Amino acid sequence: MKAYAITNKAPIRGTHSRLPRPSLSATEAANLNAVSETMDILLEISRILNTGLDMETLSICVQLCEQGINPEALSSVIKELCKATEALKAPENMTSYLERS
Amino acid sequence: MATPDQKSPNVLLQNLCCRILGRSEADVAQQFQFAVRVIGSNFAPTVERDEFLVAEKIKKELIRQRREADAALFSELHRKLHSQGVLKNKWSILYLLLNLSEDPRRQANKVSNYATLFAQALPRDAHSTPYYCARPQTLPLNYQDRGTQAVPSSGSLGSSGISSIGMGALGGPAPAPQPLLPGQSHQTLGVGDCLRQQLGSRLAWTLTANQPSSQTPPSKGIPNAVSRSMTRSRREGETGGAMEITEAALVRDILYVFQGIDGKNIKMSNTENCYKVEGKANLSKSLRDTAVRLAELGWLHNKIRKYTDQRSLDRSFGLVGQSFCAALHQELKEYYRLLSVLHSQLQLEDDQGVNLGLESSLTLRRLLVWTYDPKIRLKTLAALVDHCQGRKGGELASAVHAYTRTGDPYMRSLVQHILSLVSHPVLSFLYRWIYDGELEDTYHEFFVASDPTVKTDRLWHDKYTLRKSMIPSFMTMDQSRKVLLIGKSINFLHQVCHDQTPTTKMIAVTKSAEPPQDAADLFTDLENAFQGKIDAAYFETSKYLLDVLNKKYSLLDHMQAMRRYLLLGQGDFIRHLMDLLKPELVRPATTLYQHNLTGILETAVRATNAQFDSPETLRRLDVRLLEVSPGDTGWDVFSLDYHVDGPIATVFTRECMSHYLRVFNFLWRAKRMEYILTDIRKGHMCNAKLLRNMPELSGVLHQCHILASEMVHFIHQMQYYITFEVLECSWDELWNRVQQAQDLDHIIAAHEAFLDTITSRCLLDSGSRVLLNQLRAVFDQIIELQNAQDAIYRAALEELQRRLQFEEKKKQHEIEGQWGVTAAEEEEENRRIREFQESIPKMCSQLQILTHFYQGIVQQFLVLLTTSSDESLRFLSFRLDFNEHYKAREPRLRVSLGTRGRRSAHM
Repeated sequence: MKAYAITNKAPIRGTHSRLPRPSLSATEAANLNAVSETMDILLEISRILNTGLDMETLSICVQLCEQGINPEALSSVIKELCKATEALKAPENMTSYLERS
Repeated sequence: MATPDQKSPNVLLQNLCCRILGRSEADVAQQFQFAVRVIGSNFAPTVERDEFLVAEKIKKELIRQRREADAALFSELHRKLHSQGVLKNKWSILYLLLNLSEDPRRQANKVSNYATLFAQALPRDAHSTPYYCARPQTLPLNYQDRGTQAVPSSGSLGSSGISSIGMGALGGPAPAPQPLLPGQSHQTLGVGDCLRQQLGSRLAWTLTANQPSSQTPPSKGIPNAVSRSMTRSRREGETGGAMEITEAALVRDILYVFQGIDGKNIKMSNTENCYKVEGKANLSKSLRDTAVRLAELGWLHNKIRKYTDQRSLDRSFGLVGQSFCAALHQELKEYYRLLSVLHSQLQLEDDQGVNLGLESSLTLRRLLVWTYDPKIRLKTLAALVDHCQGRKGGELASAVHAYTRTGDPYMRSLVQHILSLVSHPVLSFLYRWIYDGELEDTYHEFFVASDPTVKTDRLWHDKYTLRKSMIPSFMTMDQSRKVLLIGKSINFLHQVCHDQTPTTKMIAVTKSAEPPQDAADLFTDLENAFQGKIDAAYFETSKYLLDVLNKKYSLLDHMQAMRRYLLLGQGDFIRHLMDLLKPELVRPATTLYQHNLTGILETAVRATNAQFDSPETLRRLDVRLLEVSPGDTGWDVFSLDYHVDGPIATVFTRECMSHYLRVFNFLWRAKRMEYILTDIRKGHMCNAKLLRNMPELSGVLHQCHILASEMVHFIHQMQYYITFEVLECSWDELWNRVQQAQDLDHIIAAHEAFLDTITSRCLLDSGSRVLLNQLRAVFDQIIELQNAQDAIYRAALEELQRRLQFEEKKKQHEIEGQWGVTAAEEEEENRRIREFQESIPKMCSQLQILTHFYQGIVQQFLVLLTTSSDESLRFLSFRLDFNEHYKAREPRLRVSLGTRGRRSAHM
């Protein structure tokens, strides 16, 4: 079986709407359903575990993992990126804080 | 399904970066680079890939967080996920989620905890939860800008009371964080001890600074983590108005610098080509120094990386260079592995600060120690890279080999390993060349060069040459020559001899199929094995080649045939040929036809022993007419020829054949002189009796005889010299060498030496031109004599004839009863006789002139001989003048020959 997660490309780029497909065979439709179910389950798990990943990020991660990337490395990368994000956001917070105080 | 949708991991990573950071693609370059680095160096996960194990872990974690309901929910979800067959790598994604999962109780810590690479300076934040972070708020505020990072240790730390202890005390000068450790490494002291020492000193200082004694001095009872946080916060509490850079920040920076990425404080300074800590940062000197020392690793890494990156773009770099880059890459990968271990160490500290002891915290000192070995490695590699700039092919291998000559065993083993990889392509070229004769060298790296413009007839001589610059330094010149020869022989066999015998038949040695093994063997002391291989291949191939040449192409037979025909070895044939050709060749050259002469040649062959030669040889024998100049007789343009083709032409090249023809010319002339003189002699013999009745001629004839004898002697000696001293000796030497030859090159060399010797000894080289001219003059005189003698004999014989006729007539008349001779007739007869007798002195004088001339020439010749540089020619002069006949006449010859038996040329 191919990596069906890949067919889920469409939602990545910031929109949740699927690109209109002109024709879907039955098997394709079934596969899409399975895929979307899997993604939902994973999203749920990630919510329980409080990872802070949204759907798109999660799907990118799923694709990377399917392609064989080492999850340890990937997780460290994501953590760093998150920290970076937070740090970038912090000055804005702090400036507002200082203004407030 | 649709594979166009499938994106590469790089693209996905970039999307991830964009997504998380919320920025556009261009801005995330640095992060993306970092991500690629980390992921690229960590291919193999370190934990077991068990999906259920991970699920269990997750459940345990949830339970630990007292979220049983969530745990149950997770089990349910997991079961559903498992039933779906969509994902292949479920383990992977679950592990990822586990790693990314956050303890909700720790949410609040997020902002304060993250020391990031890209962050701006974060002032202390205002959380007051005692559980989590040190409490700078309680600190006296004699430092305005709190340092960059907040407490980097996440997790629960000690109570606020602790931070109040040390912080307040540090209003004084900023001691270095480890002032007591100027040269100590953490290996010798436990970290805790160091810190306690420092704390002790600090506390002593603080106590003297009138701090409230209510503060409990930290004693051994302090938990490790606490003192660690103390260390951290203490460092942050350094005085000074400037920005404070903590060691932890430096550690992070260094870890990025190790990969060649500029850190926050440590940046690459292009002008000085080194990493420098930003000047305005307030940093203790030892920290700075240590940081700069560590940054060297990054510099080395950059150097190596730059080289490999540059080279990978270079299309003409060749196989050896590529293997070199591959070796460097391997080393760099190991290095990245170390870095990722360090990184993960850092991560570990960040995430699980509580349980981690001081012993495992990452400090600059620790880094120094851990990176010592890698530094040596990288230094060696960087030195190699420097040395190998701009080289490729065998040169590159030589350059790397130069570096194995070091006493340091560590470095030596490293460079030897690289060398074995680098020399692998060279050796594979070599083996292919030796065993198959094939050369596929698109980048001109091998030391055997093939010239594609050369055709097969010059294959042996010109097609393959040695590229001396590409000979690796671990191969001697002798070996490389042998290698060249082996491949050349194989190609020669294939193309020129049309012998397609596979080399495995030729070469009895088993072909080793393990070039990398051989590469390693090459550099150990088993070099004799390599040499042995080359020697065996050389021996077998050359032997086979010689066998083919001799058996299939009868090279030696042809050589002998040359000797017999072109060098006048087959005496009877040559004599008979000359006999047959004589009437033809006296005619002017323009009237000669080749086919006539060829016919005569055939006749000669059939009539003498030459007919027993192999038909192959006889087939190649032919007549050649040289270029005709006006006034030439046949003698001047006649020449024999021997056709060669195919492999034989490799030994008997065109130049060789022209040499042969020149020698033939010379020998033919000399032979002709001999022939002429025998004719003269014959004439003497025949006519002596007849002319005995004419006593007036005896003087002339006597002179003739004398002169002829002189000439005979001269020619005799010359012939002896040529035949025995020149031809036979050289031929013997040649034959011996050829019989002992081990390969074709030997034969060719011996043959050329032979031709050179003959040419110079036969006075045909440029140095002996004067001698040759003299000799030619002698020959001319001989011809003159022949002509003169012919004239004399003709006249004499005619006279004789007339007289005989007269007598006849007289007798006839007497028989008839008349007067024997009338007065008139007698008168006439007497008159004629008188005329004849008058002409005799003319003949005499002619002969005298001739003699004089001849003798002068011979004397000159002798003088030149005695001053020549060739010994055998000097000895020839003795033989020519054995009874000092010429010496008596030539004053120059009377001068002593000196100690060397040689007169100087300036006489």
